[in-house]
Amino acid sequence: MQFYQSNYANSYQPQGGNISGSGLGAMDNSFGANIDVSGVMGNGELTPGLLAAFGTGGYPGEPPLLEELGINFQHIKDKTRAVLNPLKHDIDPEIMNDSDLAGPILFVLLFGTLLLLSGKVQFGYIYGVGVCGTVGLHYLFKFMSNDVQIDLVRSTSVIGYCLLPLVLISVLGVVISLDNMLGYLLSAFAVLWCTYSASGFFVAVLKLHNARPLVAYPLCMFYTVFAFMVIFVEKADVKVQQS
Amino acid sequence: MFQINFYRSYFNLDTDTFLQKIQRASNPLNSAFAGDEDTDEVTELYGFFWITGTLIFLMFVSATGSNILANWLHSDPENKPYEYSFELLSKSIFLFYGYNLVVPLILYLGTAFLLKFPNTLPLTKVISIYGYTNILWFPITAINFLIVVFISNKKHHLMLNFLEWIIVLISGTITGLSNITKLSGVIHKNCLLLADGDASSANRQYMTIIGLLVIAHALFTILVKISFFGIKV
Repeated sequence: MQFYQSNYANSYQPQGGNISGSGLGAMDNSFGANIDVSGVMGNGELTPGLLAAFGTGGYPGEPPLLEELGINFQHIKDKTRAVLNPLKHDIDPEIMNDSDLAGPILFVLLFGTLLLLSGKVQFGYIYGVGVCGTVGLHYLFKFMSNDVQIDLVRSTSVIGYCLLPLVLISVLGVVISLDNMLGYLLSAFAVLWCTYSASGFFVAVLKLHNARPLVAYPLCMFYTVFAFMVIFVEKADVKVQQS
Repeated sequence: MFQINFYRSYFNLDTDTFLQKIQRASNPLNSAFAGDEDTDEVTELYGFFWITGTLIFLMFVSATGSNILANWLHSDPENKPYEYSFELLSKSIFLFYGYNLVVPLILYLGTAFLLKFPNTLPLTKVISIYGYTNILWFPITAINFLIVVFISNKKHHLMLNFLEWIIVLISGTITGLSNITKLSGVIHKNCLLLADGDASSANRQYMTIIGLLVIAHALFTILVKISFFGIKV
């Protein structure tokens, strides 16, 4: 059963001398021997056995799953708060360096789901516009920054977090129709809010001097496309069977 | 050419410089190369890219919007809804980006390799000039809406057409003047240097080049009028 070259020493010795003969290898003689399901065997191996497979033990010293995936809820909360109050300027630089994509993916999925709840199935467009726009914006900002290297993950992270005000507007769009003057004003306000916080982030990350409106203009266009999706897309037809 | 860093120097600007360049471009009568040898002015392509892009979008919106307005306000049988033509957007992109890239390119290639100017016109600077002067096209996109609101195509077809031609021609003249006065100083100087003091042949060469630029710009203006400023309902 040795699929990988494990760096953990295999200190489990089978009782009989028939290692090479039996096809099942180490599991043959061990069913009764190891019903300890506490998880850690103490020598770096996974606990073998049927019950241990359904338990929650793992390799010793293994980090928790969320930490391994890089999802840090405290950071997500802090960054969300930073987007929601763009007028406060004391963003901890440590959280800026943690470029995670879990928050943005969550926000984009939430946006799509809220649009779905209001009848507009736009996942394809959100994905397409999002990817093309983010890649374009990333290269534009890479051109504009002189000393700082920025990579696509950080760019996407910032742009995704700043989508939050539009998510809030789409919450409204579930209950009322936004295709009226109030809707236009609210959406314009949300786009400006998104743009303000995103341009603030980018100016801080790229260390640009006095170039905030130049950075804000492309971001504004990007978020306006999303706002159009919220306001103007027609609802999908739903046919109800009269039985 | 394919590294990012090659293009980084072309996007290096800040807000104040940008606004200042817009202001200088809006004045049709000054020259961009005056006293240029020791200015620290940045040559960048951000202005060309975004101003031309915005202009494309505004032209499309203006044409479509004024047609919709004309349809809504002035046509009596309400049975035919307006048909959007998004090819107009593609046409807009090709026309504006094409003109603003191809003409400076031809100018650069012609003067650098055919005529062998001693102080060559740098390509990015010419593209940048053409890009920034596009800002003078912006007002007529708004004026188009006003005209359509007040004048109906059915009743005053001739006057509407006439007005549209007038505004496009005025805008075209201003932008053309702006472009050419900015470039004329350098071209003239180069022609003089080439001709080694023979003023009349230098003038002839200079006039030929300027004439070609004027013709190109006139063709461009006519194309803009045909594509974007006709009311068809």
